[in-house]
Amino acid sequence: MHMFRPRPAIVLLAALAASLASSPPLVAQVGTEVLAQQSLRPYWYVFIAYALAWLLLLGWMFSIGRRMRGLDGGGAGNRDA
Amino acid sequence: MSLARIRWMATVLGVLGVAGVLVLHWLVFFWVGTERTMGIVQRIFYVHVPSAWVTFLAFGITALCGAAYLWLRDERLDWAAQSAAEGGLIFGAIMLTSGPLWAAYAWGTPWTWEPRLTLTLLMWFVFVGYFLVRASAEDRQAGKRMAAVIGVLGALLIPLVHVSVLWFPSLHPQPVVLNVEEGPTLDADMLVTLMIGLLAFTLIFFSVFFLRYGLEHLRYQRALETRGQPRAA
Repeated sequence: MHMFRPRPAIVLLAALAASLASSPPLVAQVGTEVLAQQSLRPYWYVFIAYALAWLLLLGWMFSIGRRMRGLDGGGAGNRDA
Repeated sequence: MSLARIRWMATVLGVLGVAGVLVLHWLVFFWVGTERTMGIVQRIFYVHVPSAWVTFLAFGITALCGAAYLWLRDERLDWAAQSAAEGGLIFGAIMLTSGPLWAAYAWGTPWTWEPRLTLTLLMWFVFVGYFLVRASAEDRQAGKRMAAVIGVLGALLIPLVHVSVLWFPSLHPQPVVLNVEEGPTLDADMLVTLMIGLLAFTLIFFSVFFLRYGLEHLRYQRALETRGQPRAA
């Protein structure tokens, strides 16, 4: 008989979801009355600020990786040495 | 330091930094309280202040390594200086984009030409000049020396940026952590979140700093190989 055995990744995701669900979410902290008065505008500002931060950082890492691959491939990057 | 060791350090710091960033995001979006007057948009604070701190740290390292390079002429100091300067520009760009986004909502305008904002933008452009000088100099060694001088002069703006809000009070808030008279004026949960943010951003910076330093190391090795000399350690 086939028994269901949860994979470690599923268990980890379930634990993470339970942890997030048990903490007071952002919306609950603000309260429905205040939310009703506010538009979604501040949420967009926060989202864009964090997204831009991580895009810039990832772009920097990607750029370094690309330059390293260029050198590993027999390189055009000797100009500074 | 060998290239393998540099990459190992970058990996370890990167793993710690990413873990710190995950914790930071959980704290920012699920744990820390919402500020009363500004509301949700104040959460930009937890990316704006750590990026400002890392910008100053990076430009400070550039100045120190640049000054040491001018004295000792050790190429590794120049590698460290330009790696830190590149990081300073990236984290400076994060600071200079997150700040106006926050200000657009909190002040009603993304930018005013008040002293702190103006000096910060000036400092960022000085370090853009650091790379322009390096890239445009015909004599590479002279370019490195000129860039080192620009790095040292640019870092002189760091204390000015810090005290500008004390000397010329304007729209930008006064320091809430490095407050000499009152100490940190933040609520405990906000202070904890900010400290985790400072730690996570610092770890991420040093991780990518080592990667960038490793790139210069690799360039140097390739140049030696091209000239038919043995590899440096």
